[in-house]
Amino acid sequence: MKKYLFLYYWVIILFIQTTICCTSKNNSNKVNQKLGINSSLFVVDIDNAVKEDKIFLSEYFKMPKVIFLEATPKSLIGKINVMQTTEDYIFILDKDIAKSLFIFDKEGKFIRQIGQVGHGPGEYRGISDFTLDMKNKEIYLMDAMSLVINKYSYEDGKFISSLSLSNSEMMPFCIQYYDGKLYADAFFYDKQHENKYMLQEIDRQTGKQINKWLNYEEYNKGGSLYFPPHESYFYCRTNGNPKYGNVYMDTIICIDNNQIKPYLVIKDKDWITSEDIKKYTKISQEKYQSDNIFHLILQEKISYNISNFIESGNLVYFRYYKEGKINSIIYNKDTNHTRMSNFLRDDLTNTKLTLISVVCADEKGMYECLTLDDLLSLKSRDVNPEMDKYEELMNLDIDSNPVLFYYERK
Amino acid sequence: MKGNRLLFILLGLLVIVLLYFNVASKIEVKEQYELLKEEKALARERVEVMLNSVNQSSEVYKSYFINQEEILEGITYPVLIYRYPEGMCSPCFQEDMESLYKLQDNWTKDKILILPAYGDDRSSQLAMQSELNKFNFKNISQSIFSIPFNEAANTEDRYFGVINEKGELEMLFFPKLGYSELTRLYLRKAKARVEEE
Repeated sequence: MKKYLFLYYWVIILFIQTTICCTSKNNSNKVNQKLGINSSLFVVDIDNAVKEDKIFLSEYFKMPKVIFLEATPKSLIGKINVMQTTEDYIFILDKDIAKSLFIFDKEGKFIRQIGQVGHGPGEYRGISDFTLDMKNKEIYLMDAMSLVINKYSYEDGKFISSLSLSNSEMMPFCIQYYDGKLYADAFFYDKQHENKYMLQEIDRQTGKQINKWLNYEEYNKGGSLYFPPHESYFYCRTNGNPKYGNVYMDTIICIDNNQIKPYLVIKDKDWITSEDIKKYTKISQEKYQSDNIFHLILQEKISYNISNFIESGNLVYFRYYKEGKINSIIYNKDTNHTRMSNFLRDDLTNTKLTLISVVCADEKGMYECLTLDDLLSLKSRDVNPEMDKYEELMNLDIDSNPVLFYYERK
Repeated sequence: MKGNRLLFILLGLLVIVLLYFNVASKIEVKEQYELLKEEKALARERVEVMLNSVNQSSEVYKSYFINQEEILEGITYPVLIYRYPEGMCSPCFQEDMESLYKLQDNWTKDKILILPAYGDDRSSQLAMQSELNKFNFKNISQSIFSIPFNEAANTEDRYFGVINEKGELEMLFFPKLGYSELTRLYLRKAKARVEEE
């Protein structure tokens, strides 16, 4: 019998090899299509909310602290796309102009830049989003152009590792780290791709997809054309559980203890429907040979596109589009009271007509950004001289970095 | 013994089946490889023809190089240049830069010069410095050195070229999005041209 033992081994090896060969082509991913159940879902009742002419910031916040982001030759910022804060730092991603990520301390002093545009290890072609692992003091940068996620230490800026996603069937643009797991949104080049999902979990070692949730058909009203966000589709990223919301979704999703579950739903009878999307997509294809329906629904009585979703304590703020206007919503989680207006007015500083650049929030307050355009128009406005750092603010020029206002809750 | 014989026969059959799958998949891979090899050879042939016509068409575009002294000021030549306007299609720019990065990895930095045409405002300057931080570059306004305009595509045509030892522009090449293989072949030729000077 012993002389035939090699035959057994050989057959076993051959069997394993063949199995690997035949299964590798159809290596389907695990799917977790079901969402968790949330018994304390927040409902923002826009249908029954009174539309107010203006909502004043002074009703909720104190006079803001002004933070000048230090402008050194290595920290020149053109625009703030994505911003996150930790206890010690402010992280700013300028994906359009400086094309890099900058770290400042809470007083605005420049600490360091993370990576740079280039071709070598730790360099990137175009960052689309970033996320923080605060426990290990690491930062992940999503390079959507190279389909790579780079990891660095944010304490010393050193490049740690790179994760290639080039074999992924779902291309990510935005990423979110939470509780040892890496989540990402997903877009597709293939228009005919079936079973498209918006949210996925990525293996941090291999870059492969482990789980996927939120079918475009079911949760995004069938709208599967991807619109790269100005900021990110992930919200509330360093305070509490991260949230996720896409262009046509009327629900904000929460990532919580290994569960993906609905967190807040919008009750608006004018919210865009699957039928609306089908109808306008058909018109757009016939008239403009494009699937993009934004220009067609812009002036219609259709609500869509939640953005700037932030939470601070019991307060939720977000915006969405309707009839060519931006509606600002303030929702109180304790009382379930919803307020709505086209003008969220900064009557504390009077630095701009309406608040449009809220970038992030923490438990105690929120950050707003004064862009270069805002800075240039300051001299023509009746800015409150009582405000923090008034003189310095009025003396800024076009070479300045954008300025942050931190509004602490009353 | 009969049981063992039956087992060997079954094992033998299993081996045949497994061998069949192994061989079949290997044949498929080999066929695909051969096909790719043929396509590559054909593409190379076409590129040779195209690149040979590059020098002939250069004459037409030399008129863009009229302010020669101003453009050449501070430039050490022979040098490979890449000229592009601000705000051109991002994937096009990314694709060209990818080819240039690969070329620069195996070459000296001073043999490649990027000649962008950006505005003087803060945002434009920031964007330019960030995009080109790994290269030698010189921002030259379109009023000094215009960029050919492609009326059919309604865009300005970015291009590569070589400024030879006499300070003349030659070997123009207009890259096309999705044809980075062609761009790389051109760059190989351009590199050889610069090195022979």
